[in-house]
Amino acid sequence: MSGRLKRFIRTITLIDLLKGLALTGSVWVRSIITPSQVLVTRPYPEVKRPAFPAFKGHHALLRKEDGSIRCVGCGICVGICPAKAISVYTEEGEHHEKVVSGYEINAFRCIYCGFCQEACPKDAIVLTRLYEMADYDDRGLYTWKMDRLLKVGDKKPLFRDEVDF
Amino acid sequence: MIKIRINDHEFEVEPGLTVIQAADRCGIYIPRFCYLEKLSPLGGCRMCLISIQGIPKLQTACTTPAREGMAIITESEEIHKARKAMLEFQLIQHPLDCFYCDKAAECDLQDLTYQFGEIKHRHDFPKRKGTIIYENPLIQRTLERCVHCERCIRVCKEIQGAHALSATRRGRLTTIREVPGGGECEHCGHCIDVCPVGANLDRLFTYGGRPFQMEKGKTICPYCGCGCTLTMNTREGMLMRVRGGKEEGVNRGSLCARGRFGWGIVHHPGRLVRPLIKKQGKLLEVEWDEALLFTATRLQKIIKEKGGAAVGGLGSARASDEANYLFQRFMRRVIGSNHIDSSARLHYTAGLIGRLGVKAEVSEATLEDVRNASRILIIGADPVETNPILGLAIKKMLWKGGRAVLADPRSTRTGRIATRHIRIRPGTEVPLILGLGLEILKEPSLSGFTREEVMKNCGIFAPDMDEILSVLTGPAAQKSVVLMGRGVMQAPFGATAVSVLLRAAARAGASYLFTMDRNNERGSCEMGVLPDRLPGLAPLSDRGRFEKIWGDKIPAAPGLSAYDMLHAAKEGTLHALYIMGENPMVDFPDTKFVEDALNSLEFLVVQDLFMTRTASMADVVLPTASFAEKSGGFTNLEGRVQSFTPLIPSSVDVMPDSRIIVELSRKMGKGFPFKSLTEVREEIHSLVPVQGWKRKISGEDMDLPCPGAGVHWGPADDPEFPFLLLLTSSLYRNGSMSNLAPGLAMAQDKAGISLNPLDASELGITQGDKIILTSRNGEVHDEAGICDSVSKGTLQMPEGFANASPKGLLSHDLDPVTRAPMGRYVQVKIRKI
Repeated sequence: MSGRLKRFIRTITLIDLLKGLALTGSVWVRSIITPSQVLVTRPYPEVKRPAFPAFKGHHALLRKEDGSIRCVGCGICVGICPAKAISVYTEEGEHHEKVVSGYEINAFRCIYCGFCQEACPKDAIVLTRLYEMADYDDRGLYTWKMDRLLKVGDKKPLFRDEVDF
Repeated sequence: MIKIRINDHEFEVEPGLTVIQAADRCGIYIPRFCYLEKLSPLGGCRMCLISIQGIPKLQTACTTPAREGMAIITESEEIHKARKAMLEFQLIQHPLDCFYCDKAAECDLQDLTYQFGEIKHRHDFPKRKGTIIYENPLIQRTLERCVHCERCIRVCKEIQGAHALSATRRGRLTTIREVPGGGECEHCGHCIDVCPVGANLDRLFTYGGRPFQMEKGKTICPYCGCGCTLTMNTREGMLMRVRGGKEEGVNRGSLCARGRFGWGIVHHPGRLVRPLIKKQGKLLEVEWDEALLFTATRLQKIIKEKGGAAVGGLGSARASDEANYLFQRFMRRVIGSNHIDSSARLHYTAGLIGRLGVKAEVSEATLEDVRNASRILIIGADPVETNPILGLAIKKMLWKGGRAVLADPRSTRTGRIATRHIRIRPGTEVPLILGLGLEILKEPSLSGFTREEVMKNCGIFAPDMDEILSVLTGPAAQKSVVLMGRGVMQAPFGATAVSVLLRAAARAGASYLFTMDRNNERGSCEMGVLPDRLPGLAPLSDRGRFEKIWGDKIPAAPGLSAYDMLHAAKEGTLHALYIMGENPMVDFPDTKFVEDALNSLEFLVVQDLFMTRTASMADVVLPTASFAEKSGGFTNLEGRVQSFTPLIPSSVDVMPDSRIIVELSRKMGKGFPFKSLTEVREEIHSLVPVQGWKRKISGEDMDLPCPGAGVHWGPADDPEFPFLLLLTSSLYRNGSMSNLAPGLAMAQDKAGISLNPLDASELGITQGDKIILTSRNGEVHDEAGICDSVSKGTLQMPEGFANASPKGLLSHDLDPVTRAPMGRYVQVKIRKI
């Protein structure tokens, strides 16, 4: 048979169309039976996808058991930061103690290398798996202040491997 | 040169060095805590242990002199082990509080511990805890961090001469602190700079940040005339702290309390940030355009109606050379008036006129010359308080075996260190100098000032006179320095006295120096902020040269000096005054007269950092940038022209002095052609050449009037006002602005009136009582302090304190030559509250 005849028969019997419909139909049927294995369009942001375990996202400042901030303002994170994204502000407290009055991360500068977390001697700063960093508020060139970082840190569970924002 | 071998390399070094100095010069680093180049060696920390061939035991490199052919090993297994053991000793007591310590990241102990790696702790002693001493308002001392290197003790003793710190107890309990009965801390903060660990810390900086968070910049100190280089640390546009730097500038790394702790004015909340215009008796904030246009229109109206000579200007002994140059050019060219002066009139002009009156070549001393001098004569000055770095130079000279002879009526810090303090009667500096002039120069015009006459007048004896004369006679006079201060400048015939003494010094081969109270007194005068002098101190007859470049006529008649301007204002012939960065209400003698004069002005413009008493009387107040926010140049007391650049950005609505002047002249229709400060500087250089590091200025034989014999010197007897108040200076104040620096207020916040114990017991006054001093011109009240070095019948009070200023007590009798007010003493009576 010549190629032209073959093509004619395929066209007239709509075999290709039916093949396609069979695949679509089977997925449709399977999607009704076991939907989680089949869906490829993710319903984000209604359903959030967990980040990979080693993902480094939004920073968080952690607290001690008594609720006070872990950070002592030693400035090692500032020194180690290759992007110069961190600023720590400390001042003298009432009894001459060191008080951390401000902790800022410039999100535009940060390269999410995680050195600050590695260097921190008090485990005060961690990079969480939170990746939603967009904000309606662009004041201060997207600088994350201490209260925001603490708020992120306050979300339980605390540690990165378990965090699932 | 001698040859030594260090680590199997041949080096040649100059003789007379210790091994550590030789190694430093060869670029080989030996770890150390206690050694510092500028201090005497101690050999206490034993970190600099080295091995020398032929000597069985390890030696300290800081105390061993380098000898010809010495073979030195600085690194070996044995040395490493020994040094590590020493570090282990240090770490027995050193707390692990690097997180909280401000020294972290610039700490020698931290660096060395890191370098030596893991250090075992084989000794089990309890760590010292809770030994932080907050006795000093500006310096925190943490004993547990101390490594007992004694750098602070030595720097306090050998460089500052304060002897405030000493060590008590032994071993690891060694306690270094200010011991009662020791010297008084002068708050120079040098111990902070030299401390290798965080034992001495700057309390103004406490927890201000880490070194890597800060930017470093250099500027010139805005307080006294020494012109010290300040190494400033700034963080995000804020000044954080001042350090002396490494042997830099004229100060060689030393600073005084004002330089180190006086920077707080820059961030004072009271800084003016917007221009102000007086509307219906109230100063209201306006835009720059409006303020400048208002000023320009008002000035133009006055010039049109009453002529340029109806406007006067006070330049500033604090503003930069460039700003002063532009100011006088603005006054002469745009306003058309020669009435230009500054507060240098009060403290320096007599010296300047005296210097110009001498044509002979008189060598001018530098701070280095003072350090190397063999003898120094100080008349009417207190350099230790007014110019502390000059004071340090004098101390250095004294330790080298020099002699300092001081002729001054007051009890001062300089008096305490001087080899001989000759207490002349108040107000007799001039006859003393003229008497010296007669002895040395033998000029007939001075014949009235015979030795007997001078001794009677000054209340001194023949050995005192011989002592003073010895400085300027003999072959050793080549290395003598004559130092004059405000006691001479503010005395009648001060200019004559200066010129006589300079001629005597020239004859003897000695050099001279003036103490200067403001940072740019000399620069402002050399820039032509004088009624009868153009830039470079050119006389007005030389004005053709300037007219050619400026393109405008300069008024031929000399203008009025500061107090003459105020008189003219009071009489109604001067209608407007433009004050650039001066505060006559506080800094000028006779406050009431100044107030009346300023009140009778039609229009007053003030350019200042703060709402000073003068500014609050003004019609227009223009906010200016502080020293850290602008660039320019200052000329110090040696004549050294030093430039500086801005360290921090100024707030939006603040302009530097020079830019305000330029903008204002543009508004007045006679703009300057300058695009940048560099162009201004180039024009200044073309008119006033700088030779080496100072401007070339020559004298021109002037005939200065000489007082005749039989003049009564010093205060007249006045039974109504039996006491004599002598004005002194304070280490912690320099002008009215220094009151606003928090650090200086912490060091000393009250002026205090010192009086003799005999006077005090007669009047029933005890230490700390409130007393009121009344003179013919005003009154002032403050706490009394009993001080037995104050002469009976006199009182002493430092000027510059805002809460109690003796300036209001003074009258303003003007010297006929310099037109400067005589204001070093005033007769008062005391009343106890």
